[in-house]
Amino acid sequence: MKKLRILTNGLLKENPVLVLVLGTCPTLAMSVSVVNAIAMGLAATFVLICSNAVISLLRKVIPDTVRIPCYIVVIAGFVTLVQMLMEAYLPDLYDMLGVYLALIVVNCIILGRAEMFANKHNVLESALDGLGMGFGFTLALLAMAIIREVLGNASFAGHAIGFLQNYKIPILVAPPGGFLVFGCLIALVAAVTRGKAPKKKTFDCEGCPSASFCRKDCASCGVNTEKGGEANGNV
Amino acid sequence: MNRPKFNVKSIIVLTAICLIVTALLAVTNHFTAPIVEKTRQQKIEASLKEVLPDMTKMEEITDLPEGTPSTVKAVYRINDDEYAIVLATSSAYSSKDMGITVGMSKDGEILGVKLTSYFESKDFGKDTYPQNYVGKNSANYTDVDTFSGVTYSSNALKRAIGDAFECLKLVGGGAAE
Repeated sequence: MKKLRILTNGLLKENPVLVLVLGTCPTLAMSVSVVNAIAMGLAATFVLICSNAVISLLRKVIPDTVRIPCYIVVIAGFVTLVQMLMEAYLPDLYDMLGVYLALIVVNCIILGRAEMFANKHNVLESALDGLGMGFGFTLALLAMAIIREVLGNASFAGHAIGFLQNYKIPILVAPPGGFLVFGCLIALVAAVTRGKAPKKKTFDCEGCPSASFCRKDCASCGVNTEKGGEANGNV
Repeated sequence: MNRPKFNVKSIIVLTAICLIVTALLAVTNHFTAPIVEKTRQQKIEASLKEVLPDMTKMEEITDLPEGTPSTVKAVYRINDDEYAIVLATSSAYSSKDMGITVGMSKDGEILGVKLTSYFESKDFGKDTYPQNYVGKNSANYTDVDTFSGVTYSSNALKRAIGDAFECLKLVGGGAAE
């Protein structure tokens, strides 16, 4: 039951994009088309599962002082692996994702889950968390991409939708449209999960990567502890 | 603020993780590099047909003359009187090279331009913007305007076109003048 809860947490209740507001940059950039969104979501899911599992496996070996560099090396390794495999076997998709594939390294969801979950739980639970968060990320991207591509470009996965051709809303495929759809979906999820989404206390020193260094209240290190504050400066 | 305490174990663990990750990537690269190279060759061959659609005969000039710009990766003589020059922009411009194939007549007129790889987040219409160079020669190719907001890539493309003219001059015996 606990494992099922870990797996399903990321889908809605703790959705990394729409509740934790992490990984905003790739979400806005890659949600213009359904194909891009699915590809980016699956690539990030693979990296999340693998990095969570490896970091969990090494959590007792990695000293606290160098844990962030170690996590980044592991994450960057898996991202480069995905890049190499995609360039070799899915070159068209590789060209389509372009620079955003490499930017998975600095996706806050991955480092965030490594720091907040994988280094405190066993390998299986961490892999399940990676899977759940990855699917949550993919679903959020997909929901945004469907709205933006169908209404903004009158197409679905590159296939034109005939009856919508005269009713396109072009702003939806432009950056402001991305923010608009993003905001509407956050509001929708907040309404649906009323009372179930993480409370303020989730966003305290415990989840801060600098906590072990400063050991002070969050106000002194500039990290906003208000709800959603953790997302400040995320990529 | 307390300074973090580093010890020998920290250094060893971080070094070991770096080495293991590097080794894994080296193994992966060993298997994927030949496939990537094969795909790249296929893309280049397809681009040759695109920039010079009348191509019936193709011969690679393997012995490039001294002074050929370093951005020139391959030169093909097409149908005896046309040339296709494959270029990759310098990595000084970006983390990943822009791949360009330029088709030229022996007289130094651009017959076709194709971007075979482009990895920047800001697009200048990679299928349309390069077509502005079609019909240009070494005297007037600099007249093509840079694309607003994509200035670095536009300039990198222009420099590459300039290198193609330089190369054509060397392999075509000054025909590009």
